[in-house]
Amino acid sequence: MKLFSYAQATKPADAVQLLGAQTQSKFIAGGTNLVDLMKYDVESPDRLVDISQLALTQIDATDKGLRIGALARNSDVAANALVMKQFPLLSEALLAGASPQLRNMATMGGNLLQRTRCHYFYDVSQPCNKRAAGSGCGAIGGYNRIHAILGSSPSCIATNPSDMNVALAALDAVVQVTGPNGSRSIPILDFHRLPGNTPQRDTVLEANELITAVDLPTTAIGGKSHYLKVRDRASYAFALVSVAARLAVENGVVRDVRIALGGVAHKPWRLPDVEKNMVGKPATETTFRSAAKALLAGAQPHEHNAFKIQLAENAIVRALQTVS
Amino acid sequence: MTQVCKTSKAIGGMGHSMKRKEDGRFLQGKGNYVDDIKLDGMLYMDIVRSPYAYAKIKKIDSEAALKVPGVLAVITGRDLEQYNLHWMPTLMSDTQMVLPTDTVMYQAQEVAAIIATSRYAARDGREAVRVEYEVMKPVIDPFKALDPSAPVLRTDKPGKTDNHIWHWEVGDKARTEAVFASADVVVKEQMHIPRIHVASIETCGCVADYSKVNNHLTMYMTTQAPHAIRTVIALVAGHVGLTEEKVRVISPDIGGGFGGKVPVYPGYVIAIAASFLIGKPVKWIEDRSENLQADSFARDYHITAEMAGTKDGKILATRFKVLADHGYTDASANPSKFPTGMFSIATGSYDYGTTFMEADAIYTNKPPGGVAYRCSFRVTEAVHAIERMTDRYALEIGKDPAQLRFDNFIPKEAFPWHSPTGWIYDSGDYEAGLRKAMDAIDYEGLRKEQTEKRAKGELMGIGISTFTEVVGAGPSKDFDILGIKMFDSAEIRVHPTGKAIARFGTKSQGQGHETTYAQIIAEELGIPAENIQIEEGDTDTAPYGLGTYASRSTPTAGAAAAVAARKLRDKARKIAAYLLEVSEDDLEWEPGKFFVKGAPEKSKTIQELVFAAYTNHPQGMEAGFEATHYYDPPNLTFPSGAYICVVDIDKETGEIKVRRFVAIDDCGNIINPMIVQGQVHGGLTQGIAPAMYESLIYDDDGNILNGTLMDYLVPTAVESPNWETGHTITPSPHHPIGAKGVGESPTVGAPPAIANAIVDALSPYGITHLDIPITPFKVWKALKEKGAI
Ligand SMILES: Cc1cc2nc3c(=O)[nH]c(=O)nc-3n(C[C@H](O)[C@H](O)[C@H](O)COP(=O)(O)OP(=O)(O)OC[C@H]3O[C@@H](n4cnc5c(N)ncnc54)[C@H](O)[C@@H]3O)c2cc1C
Ligand code: SF4
Repeated sequence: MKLFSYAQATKPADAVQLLGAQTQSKFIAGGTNLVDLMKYDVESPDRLVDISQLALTQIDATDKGLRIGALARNSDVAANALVMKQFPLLSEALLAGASPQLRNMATMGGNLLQRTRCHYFYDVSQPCNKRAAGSGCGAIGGYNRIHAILGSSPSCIATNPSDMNVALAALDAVVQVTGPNGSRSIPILDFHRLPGNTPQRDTVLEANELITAVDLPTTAIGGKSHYLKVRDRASYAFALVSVAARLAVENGVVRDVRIALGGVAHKPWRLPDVEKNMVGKPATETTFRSAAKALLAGAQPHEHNAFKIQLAENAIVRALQTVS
Repeated sequence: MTQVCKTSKAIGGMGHSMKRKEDGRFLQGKGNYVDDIKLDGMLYMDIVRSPYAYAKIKKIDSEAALKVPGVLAVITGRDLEQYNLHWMPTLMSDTQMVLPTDTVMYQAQEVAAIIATSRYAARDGREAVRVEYEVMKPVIDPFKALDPSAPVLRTDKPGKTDNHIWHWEVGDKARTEAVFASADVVVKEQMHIPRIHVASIETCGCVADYSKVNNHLTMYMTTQAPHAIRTVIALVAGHVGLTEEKVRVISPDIGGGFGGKVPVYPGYVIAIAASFLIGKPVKWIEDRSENLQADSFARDYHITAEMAGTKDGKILATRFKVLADHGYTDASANPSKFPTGMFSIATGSYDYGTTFMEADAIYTNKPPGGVAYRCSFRVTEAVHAIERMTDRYALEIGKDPAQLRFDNFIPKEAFPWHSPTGWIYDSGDYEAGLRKAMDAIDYEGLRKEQTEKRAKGELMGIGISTFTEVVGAGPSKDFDILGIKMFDSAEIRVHPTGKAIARFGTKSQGQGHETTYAQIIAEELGIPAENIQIEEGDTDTAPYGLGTYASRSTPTAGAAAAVAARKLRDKARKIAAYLLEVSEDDLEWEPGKFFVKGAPEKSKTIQELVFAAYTNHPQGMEAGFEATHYYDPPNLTFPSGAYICVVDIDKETGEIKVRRFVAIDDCGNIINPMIVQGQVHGGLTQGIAPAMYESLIYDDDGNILNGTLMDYLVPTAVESPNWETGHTITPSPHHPIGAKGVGESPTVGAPPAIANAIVDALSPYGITHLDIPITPFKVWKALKEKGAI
């Protein structure tokens, strides 16, 4: 592990300032992802700015919905009464991830930015464009059972491993950030990127920007929601495929719907057009299956992950049936 | 048969669910593990490991490492070579590198050791060591290891021309072939019992404390067999002055062993060498990944299994051919005469004429091992083979697998039963066990439900395993490790006030010996178990024994405790006769006292008699109240069990849900029912592990693909079904207290029950076998291949 310096911030503005202009500095929140990556020499910052003491842990009702501080712990968010009442999907997704010990440390901001679980990304003796731009991709032609089937590029076929992000995508969340040039709001679907030929960037966040909060808008969609996660072990394992579904049905007909997929792409996968298309159709397996197929249109399997296409289709249908 | 408690609850002898005496300290975080040991001036060791599976070491550059503040030394194979300590023997009389001088043989092999003043400095030093390798193409696929084109791995062995280690066989080949040739039904499957790891919560480690002044080594280490380790150290390092009286091994509390803490790992030897050379205590504690990637694996048997039978379900013969992948050296922990351990128990619980079994062991570029992971030396592999094939045969002839078992069980009247491979099963009542399990789970009802579900295309399966274990190694005529016979020992000292301390040659790693041994002595002497202190693990104080593994503690040391206690009871009888002025024959024993026949008011309690042994013993009798016994068992014990598992499988995701799991165990007389139940729960969870989750996977270059607990899937409480346990009791006729050992039955018996249930669920689609671990993905793939989805 590379030697690094450490500083603790007490105010958001200080945090941004402490990080300074050096690109080799990083914020550390719960540390559950970053510390692992540093131990493996995947990340080797010169300086860590500890933001865990910032007063950004509140979960407050706002006139538009709910604001969750970026430093709120995953376990606190999952157990929060407002979240459980208004956005149970988020609780469900958080509780499907990691382990209680990890959730006690992990934060909203850290979870949003957690990095891929691609084996080659973690192994510094292997080529990886995400870790070392231009070095190649070990997963293409390697062991790629956990990799993407949608939206990948010849540079990178990694997936975003977060459960929470899938729920946030289905909840139309907005990420609040602040940086040297002021604050901005980023809709969740724009927050994570597809790899293209710059897979080293997971998100549109600038290196010196701090996430301060996540907003969840109260929408009129109503209805029920469900997070379905398919994985190799019932606990403490990342999703092979996951589905965050919200569905409102009226008189047997779809009134409104959100479907986000995890484990299949570099970002939570949502196609609003497919959702719009479902509105007004009967809430039956036929509708669900054709939506599933539409969501997966153009899916491109790699050597070991073709199973994900049908698995995802089945999982989408199952999740929608559960909430219909 | 049911068991009644002969002692009161206050005495707490056999059959009482006494709370575990050791739990007080564990629950309060006051256990004393190796890493809790801190000595003055203690140094820390870390180990540089090979990133390659097979490579020549061209250069080890320690210069930068030695500049890291706090780093005192970098030790390489060349350094150890000067003392002839660079190689060591394995328990199977093969040889293993302590540190390599030329070649590394598997990924994560030790390459050099760093000694530093803190753990952090040692780790920084490790990262600063530069090693230049010349990478070679490794042998990974065991089926290719014997190809003439495969490189010969053990070039250190003069004259070695291939990667073959040994061939073993047992049974009647000609007769078996004849039966197979004429049988109506023959079924055959190729199966792999995966390479797995014990993954105990505590990793391995030690503090080697060599004192130059006294020329004495105290070795604190995580070992299941402290005495054997002391002897091995003396054998390996006697030539540098560490003869056996100069070595003390202390095994403090152990956080799980499961066979993984039987071997001597290179790290221990390097720590000893470092302490010897530097003259200060040296601590070495593995991290989690090192433990998983480098310490001994278990299983890894490729078995070609065949069964021959009649059309109506009578088993006639079995044939098993094993390819055993041992990694680069045979570092199994088997009794010396048993290269395949007790694999020959694979004829199972069934009465049929003939079998032939053979095995070939080979070297590959993988970590060494072959430890008995919660298993009496390869019984798990054997039970999987026979129980899988029994179901396979039932499927072939369309017979209910439970009925097929009833039709083939060794009848209870036939015990002691001589197996075709030479075992003498001591006792058993297999029919009673299976009946009880079937009643508990409502077998008939489940089969009905299954028929209905199948009609709807739903996947539900029922799997049975009726296994026989062979534990308690073992009788000295057959069993030894490196020549040392596999007896075990107990020494009981009762103090004048009637409280006792007893010491043993075994070593608990969570099994609850501090409670169960006390209960055995309480049963025999009537001294409350509460007042009997049990100690194990210090070779300076405990009598010699071969340690705890292979479910041997109760069959050997537990028996020794009973016999030693009986010696003391005989002495107490003599003292009672003297004090009560009657003849010994006039005395009768009830737990806790002797009384005069016909005059129960004339009695002496055990406490009074012990006090007299120190204060008023008969002239001519030796004073004091102590006894020692080294118990050489006349036979092994043969616990058995009947397990039934019900699974529901989600066709669309392949997800397998274990709906119910009933485990009826027969371990003979029970010392502490609560502890037995706890052992069964833990063992079943470690049984579900290889059945559904665990397997160490290597790619063609010998890279481990799941070398962390993120990817090597150990089941957690979430995956553990609600275990429903029960028992039948068929005492061992030759064991002093009729007990048989239970710690491993569930690990051994559970995997085939689960595999059988899953295959049963999938059998309508023409699936006859799946290798464990059976993951959702494997199920999904198999269904897909058969066009079922
Ligand atoms: C064994 C294991 C199993 C896991 N299983 C799952 C699982 O099943 N599902 C799942 O979804 N996740 C899982 N996780 C991942 C876990 O959810 C993440 O590690 C966690 O959410 C990261 O949060 P953190 O606060 O610890 O982030 P940190 O490690 O502190 O930070 C992660 C990254 O985010 C940056 N960062 C953190 N906060 C901010 C901020 N406010 N503004 C800007 N940058 C910031 C840091 O600089 C760093 O680059 C698992 C993790 C482990 C170790
Ligand atoms: S898939 Fe992406 S993260 Fe994985 S090796 Fe390729 S470039 Fe790296």
